[in-house]
Amino acid sequence: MNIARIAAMLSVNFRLCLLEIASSAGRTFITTFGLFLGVASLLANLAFVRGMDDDLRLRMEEIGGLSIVTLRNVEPKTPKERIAFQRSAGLSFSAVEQAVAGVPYVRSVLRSRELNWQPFSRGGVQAWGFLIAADTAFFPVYNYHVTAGRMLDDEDIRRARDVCIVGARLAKRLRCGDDPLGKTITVRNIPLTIVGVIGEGGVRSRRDVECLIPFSVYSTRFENAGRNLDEVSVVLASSDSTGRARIDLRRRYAAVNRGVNNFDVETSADKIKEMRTTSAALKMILWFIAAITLLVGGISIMNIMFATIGNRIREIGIRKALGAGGRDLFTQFLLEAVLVCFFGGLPGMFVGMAILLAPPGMFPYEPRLTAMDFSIAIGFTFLTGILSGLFPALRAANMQPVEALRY
Amino acid sequence: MKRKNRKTERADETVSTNGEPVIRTEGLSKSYLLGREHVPVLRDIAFSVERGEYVSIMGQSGAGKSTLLNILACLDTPTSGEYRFCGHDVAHLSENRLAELRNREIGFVFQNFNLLPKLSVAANVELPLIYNGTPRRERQQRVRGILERFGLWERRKHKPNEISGGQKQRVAIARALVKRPSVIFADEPTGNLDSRTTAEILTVFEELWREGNTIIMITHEHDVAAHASRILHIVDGTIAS
Repeated sequence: MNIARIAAMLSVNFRLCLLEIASSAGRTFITTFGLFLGVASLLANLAFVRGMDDDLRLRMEEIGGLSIVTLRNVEPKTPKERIAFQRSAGLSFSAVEQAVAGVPYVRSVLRSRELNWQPFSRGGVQAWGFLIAADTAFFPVYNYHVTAGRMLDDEDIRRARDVCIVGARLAKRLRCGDDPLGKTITVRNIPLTIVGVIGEGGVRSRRDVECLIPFSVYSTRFENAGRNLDEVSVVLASSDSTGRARIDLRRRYAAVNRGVNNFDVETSADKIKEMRTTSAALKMILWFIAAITLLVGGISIMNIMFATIGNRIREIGIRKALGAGGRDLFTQFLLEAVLVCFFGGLPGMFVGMAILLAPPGMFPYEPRLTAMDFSIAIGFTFLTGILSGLFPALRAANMQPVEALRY
Repeated sequence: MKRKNRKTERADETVSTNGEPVIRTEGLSKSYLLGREHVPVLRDIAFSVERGEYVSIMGQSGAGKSTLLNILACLDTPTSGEYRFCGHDVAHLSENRLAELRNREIGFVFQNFNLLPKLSVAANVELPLIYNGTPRRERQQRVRGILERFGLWERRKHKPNEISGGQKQRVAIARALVKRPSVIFADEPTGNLDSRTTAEILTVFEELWREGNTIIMITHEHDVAAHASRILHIVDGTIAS
């Protein structure tokens, strides 16, 4: 069969099929409604799965991956504990540094402190932001990246410069304009010059409203700096030693702490594991819903395709009498099935995509779609078309013309 | 369905049919299986048709004339006997190769027109040309030519249900003729038409015959059959005269 003939046949069958669909648009829509819903649900679910993946990645970055071990204060639970805990000098950077001194797999004690939500101001404008004091080791561990300007550097720390890096959204709320670099914002009566901007924009994250200042600015300018710490993090050289570090640190710090066990040693491994399990379970449910809806949609189309061929036996007979071969009818019916499926599948894709228009904050995860997701949706629509058209097409192709014309 | 088949078919095409009748049957029989019994419909049919003839096949309803026409038009195969059509031994061809023959050599006009209701007049006429692989430009030229000839060009965009019975049958004839077949088969082409339109359609067939077309027409009406150059009578599944 030459290409010109196939092209001619396809183009005419395409037109014929559009006519068929247009002349019975209502019925076609009902036929494909299941697939319409299926594709819509597939895309919406995929968008959520992507959103969850993004969120998981972000949260894993925010907790610093596996190479962090954190010492955390615990509250006394009994009067006896309260008395015992009074002997402890309390959590401090220097005490932890003393405890880990000489341990080969410890890289450093992280000098950083979350100073919680603080009111920032610039000119007459006020906005809440999350203030963190940190030294330079903090940034690589928690995967901070600047989108403009630079990170805080050793010089900023050493000289206790009044500089900061801010989240893009916080900068926006403080009306810093398109280029926040060099602008000054004030927190706790300290004017800070912005040297860098962080935050990814699209994905919702606390980073967008954070402000990071040199640890030395905090320790010199804030009252009670370095006291009453809730937690101190220790950075390990590699994530392989977290298990050992947990045991070692408990013993070593207890020794420094006059034998008082008023602290916990946590690793992020537990958190990450929990996140992964929750995320995987949710994802599986989403995939399952999408698969079931698609299956039901696909089967309903197949069913109707089988049923409608009965109404068209005469047409098949006429076409065969006019010189159509089995191949021609096979192509026609298959093409029709695929087109009908796209008639339902494409609107379904648009409806599924509509989830992306949801205002941020409406869902716990920011939905996102990739080219891959559209390929999956299109591929499935195509596959449903092929599967639902195949048997009717074979039946049409193999029908005896005389018998078909008798209808 | 295989490319190879088509090639051998093409090779067959070069077999000269000069001198040989367009249609020749020998001891042609057809029976249907009804329950466990073989019911004979056609028995021992032997006749031939030369190129350029206009043959009417007459008979009562149930005499087997439609069955005969279906076999002659390569829509069906005989149970036994021999049938040569344009030099091809049709009795033993597969459905795919029958489709090839129909595609190239046969134009079919039905009693109830059998136009595809959702296609326009022009698209209905174009369809056989698509199936036999005529290039687009030539298709358009030929469709226009034939529609103009039958006075249907103004109606080309109409759907079959928007035109009269006589016009429908003229569209059907145009559709049969557009691929320039070796033989035009017509199954009671005037059966659904009033007497005035019948006369009009019969004039068309006569014109086609005068132009050199071979026509085989089934009818049960004497005055319709009388237009033909030869009349075959079928009685009880066999040729009576």
